[in-house]
Amino acid sequence: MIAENIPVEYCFPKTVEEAYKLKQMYGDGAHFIAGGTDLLLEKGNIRPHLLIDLTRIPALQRLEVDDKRILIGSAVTYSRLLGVNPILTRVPFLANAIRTIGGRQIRNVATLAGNLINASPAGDTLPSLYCLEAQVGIDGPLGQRCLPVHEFVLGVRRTALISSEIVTQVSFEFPGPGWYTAYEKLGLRRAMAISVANVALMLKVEDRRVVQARIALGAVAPTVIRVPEVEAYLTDHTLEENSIEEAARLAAESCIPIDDIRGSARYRKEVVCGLMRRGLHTLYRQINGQE
Amino acid sequence: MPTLEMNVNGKPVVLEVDGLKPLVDVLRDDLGLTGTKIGCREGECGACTILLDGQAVNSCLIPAMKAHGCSVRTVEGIGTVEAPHPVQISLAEAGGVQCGYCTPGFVMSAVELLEHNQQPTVDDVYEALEGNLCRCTGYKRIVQGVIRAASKIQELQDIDIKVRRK
Repeated sequence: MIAENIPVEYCFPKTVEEAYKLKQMYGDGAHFIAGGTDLLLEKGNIRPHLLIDLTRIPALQRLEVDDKRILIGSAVTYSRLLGVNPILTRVPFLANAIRTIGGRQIRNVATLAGNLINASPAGDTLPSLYCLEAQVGIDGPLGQRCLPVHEFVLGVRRTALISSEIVTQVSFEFPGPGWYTAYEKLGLRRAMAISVANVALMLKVEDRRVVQARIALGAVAPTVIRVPEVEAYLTDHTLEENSIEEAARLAAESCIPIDDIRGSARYRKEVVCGLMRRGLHTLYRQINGQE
Repeated sequence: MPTLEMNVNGKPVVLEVDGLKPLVDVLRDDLGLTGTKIGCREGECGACTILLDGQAVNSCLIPAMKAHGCSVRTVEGIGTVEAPHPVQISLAEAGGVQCGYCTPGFVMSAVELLEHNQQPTVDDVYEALEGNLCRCTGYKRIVQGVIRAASKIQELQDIDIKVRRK
């Protein structure tokens, strides 16, 4: 931290290498910035020598889609993602999660990678990325590496990034035929609000029977969590009133929420139960062709 | 100090700014464009909405340097008292303006919407305006104003086409 009167420098590196080398040189005196929507809220607490803007690095603006998978460069904004048809049609739960983030003004600058790096347990896109078992691409002085999202996020606002490393991309495979997805969130209001709790669900269904389930809960533990008990329970069941109730109950039981300004732990467990019920009903309607 | 070169409402601007200084402070304090309002300074209220290369953004949440090499439009570049933009006329006509503090932000969000979508539904308007807060109107009249602006712009274009054909 340095004195208020020394101006903060700002630069637009053109390559990832240039960016992490600058960061290496300045160490804690430099901050990376992409959309900046979280960083500027911390303005009172940080006073770097240098801001390194990553959004004009062509490699980080990459957006590659084929039949099987998508690769999202870390400087790609939410608005740009919502313009990609396969995001809307093949992972609608991720699209729905993105739509609940901020308003248009936020989505026009904020990025998916930023949501991951911020590592808030309430991050709206994280539960879907956990269900999709997304991979996080990282580059830095020690070379490139790739981590599954659940190994990338270590705790509340803590990630596996080490000195000077940059997230370059987030990628995942699209769910194949037979998969259905849903995202449910409770915020204090529909637009702009941070999640009290959120739930992403992905079910693979054959002959109306669940053959595979992936369920992730947000804002009810230090990181987003998958709930293997619920996934195991749903596997081999068909969705009907009793199985939905039981899965919702199990999910509420397996989370360890905290009391905070947005809700008490007890309330959050009730919310998880309600969101699970709602999500499973949504999936039921999709599976039975009512949506 | 970093040098910021940008185009504001059609005019080139060059100035030195602190790298963390939000765009809204440069617009209001350095350039005197006080039409852009500050409500919350944390991206909740949308009063500071401007268009950066045509996209609505909260000017309180981005460092001014993010506009380097870009074009910025503020409410001063949308219309004047003598020649208001159809969105401004329609908001006033529909009763969508009361204290007026949030209005420049709503105007910018509405202009962005109508530049991409000339026939928005009520749902489209709600979605486009969800990042803007108003504590006076209850929103209904603002939404009606934007819908009215869309048909006004459509009419103006139709007239324009007819005039050109003659």
